[in-house]
Amino acid sequence: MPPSEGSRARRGGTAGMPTRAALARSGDVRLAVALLLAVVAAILPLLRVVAAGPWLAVGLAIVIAVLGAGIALRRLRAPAVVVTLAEVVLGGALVTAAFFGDTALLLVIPSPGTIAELPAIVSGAADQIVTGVAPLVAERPLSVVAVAAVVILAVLLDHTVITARMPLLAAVALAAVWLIPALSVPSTVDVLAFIVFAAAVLLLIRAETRSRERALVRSAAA
Amino acid sequence: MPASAAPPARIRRLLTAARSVWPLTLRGTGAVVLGAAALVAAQAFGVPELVYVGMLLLLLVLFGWVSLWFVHRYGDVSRSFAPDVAAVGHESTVTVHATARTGLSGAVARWTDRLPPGVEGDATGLVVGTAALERMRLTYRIRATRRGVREIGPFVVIVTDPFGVTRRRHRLGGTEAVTITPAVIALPPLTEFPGEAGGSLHTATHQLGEGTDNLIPRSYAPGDSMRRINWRASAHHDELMVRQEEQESTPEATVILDRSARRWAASAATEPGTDPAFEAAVTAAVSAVARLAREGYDVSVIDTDGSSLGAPVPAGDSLAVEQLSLDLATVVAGGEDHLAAVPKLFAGTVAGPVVVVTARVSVADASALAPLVAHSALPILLAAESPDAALTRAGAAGWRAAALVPDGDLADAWRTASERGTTRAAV
Repeated sequence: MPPSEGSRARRGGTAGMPTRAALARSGDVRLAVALLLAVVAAILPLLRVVAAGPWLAVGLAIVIAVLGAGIALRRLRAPAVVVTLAEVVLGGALVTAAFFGDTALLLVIPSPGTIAELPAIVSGAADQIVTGVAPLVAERPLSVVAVAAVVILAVLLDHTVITARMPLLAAVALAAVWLIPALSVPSTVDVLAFIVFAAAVLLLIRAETRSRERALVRSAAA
Repeated sequence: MPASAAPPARIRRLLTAARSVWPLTLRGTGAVVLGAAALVAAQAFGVPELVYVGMLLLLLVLFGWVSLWFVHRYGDVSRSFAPDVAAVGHESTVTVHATARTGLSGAVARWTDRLPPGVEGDATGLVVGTAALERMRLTYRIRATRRGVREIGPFVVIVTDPFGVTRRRHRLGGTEAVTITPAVIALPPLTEFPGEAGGSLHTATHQLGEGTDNLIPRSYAPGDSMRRINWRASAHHDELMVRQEEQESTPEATVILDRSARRWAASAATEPGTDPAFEAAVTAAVSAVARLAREGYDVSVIDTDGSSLGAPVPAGDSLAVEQLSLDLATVVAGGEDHLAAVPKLFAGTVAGPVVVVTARVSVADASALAPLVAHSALPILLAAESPDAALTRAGAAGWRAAALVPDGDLADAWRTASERGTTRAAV
């Protein structure tokens, strides 16, 4: 685990500093909401490349479920590793249920048949990306890849922001996602999209700082 | 990054110093680096969006920095100490009053009070809430570890901006001095020479030419107690005579602290609290004074040249002992060596107990001190860093000598010294 700013504060040696565990429990809902908004803001420009469709709704629903599960597990004081692993498992299960319900065991457990489908899905999506003309209409292969990517992004950012408390690093990842359409389809800069993205990133960083301040206030009051 | 392995102290100090100067937090530093990298990459790869991202990061840091420099305003700081004076090894409570006004966030500020070497404590904490910042009243405990006058401060408030990218250290007020006196260690009583009885006998008899049994009768006056009537004198004078009040005389003791420069390490002459041997000597001197004053002696503390090192301590006056320890809080080594001339200070008188606290006593020094034994009721020599031969020589001359060990048990040395005479007499 990287040395987060939380552990740095603890090394400062002040008795009143909250531990990272205490930090992880403070302002988690606010942070998760800010993170959701940031993810949405980062993938909005993507709609210039991949046309909006059912995949967007499915992807957002799974992200919300994953972040919600993260909040619930942190409320139950589960260890940070358990939270992230549970989110990975839940995300995988929901993606399976959404796209591979007919081959999966009990709807959510990928079966050998499901696994066998994957190479075709990946090659189909790659084929569509390489040969298609933007905006692509998301067929099943591209939908699976896009939703899976969004869910993986959400889990990674959840770990980066809420567990490791490094929103700036998360902002870098978000910026990379946000830049994908600009890199693939050169056009003039979409200022409105940038403003939305900037606001979301600032909100995310502020939410993290605020949760830290509140944790300090609480530990000082205790 | 010093993540887990503890870096060497020098590197850690450098890091701390760098952190106190560098206005950005780790996050802020990262934002500036990433922002600059984004601008460079925008040029290199021709992606105009990266310019926007880079500017966002740089402006974020700039905004944070501006918010700290134009919105916060800080006032004055005052400290009070309870107790005012801390002895080495004792604690004192520091109360800091400070005022500040913050603008934007300022909801949480960290404060630290710089403690000088020789004072330990956790002088850090958090100030929470804008209202609390307006009128801060903070307390923390310090523990004095080295003698001297130590400057506490300046008081530093560290605030960070709402995004946690920049920090600013406000130094408020100046420093305030706290006096750290030498430790006074409770020494075992002098079983052989209690000042109120035997001690006074020894000195007062010689000095006044009369003992407590020498009574001067005077005529009976109304109000005198019948029990004070001296029948023998009454018969002799053919009128009622009463015993005159006994002449109260307080015996005197002398504690000599040898400050001469050549007996102590060079550091003892520059600053109080640096040379462990000299610290042990000062502690021994003031502890001996406290013991002797308790035993009923008027105690004066002098240097080997006879000059006074502090106000004399009347018998039983513990406040005067505290005053003396204040006087000795700043004493440092220095001056010529007069140890051999010490017996001359007592020539022609008979003093009470004489305690000499010194160091690096040679056999020659011990021989030079020998004549003093005849003039003192209780000559005690506490010597640091001295060879056993010198102590043996002093002991043979009649001194009750003991080695003074820094960080050793002073009470033990004192007991050794005061009992060595007894055993020697028994042998």
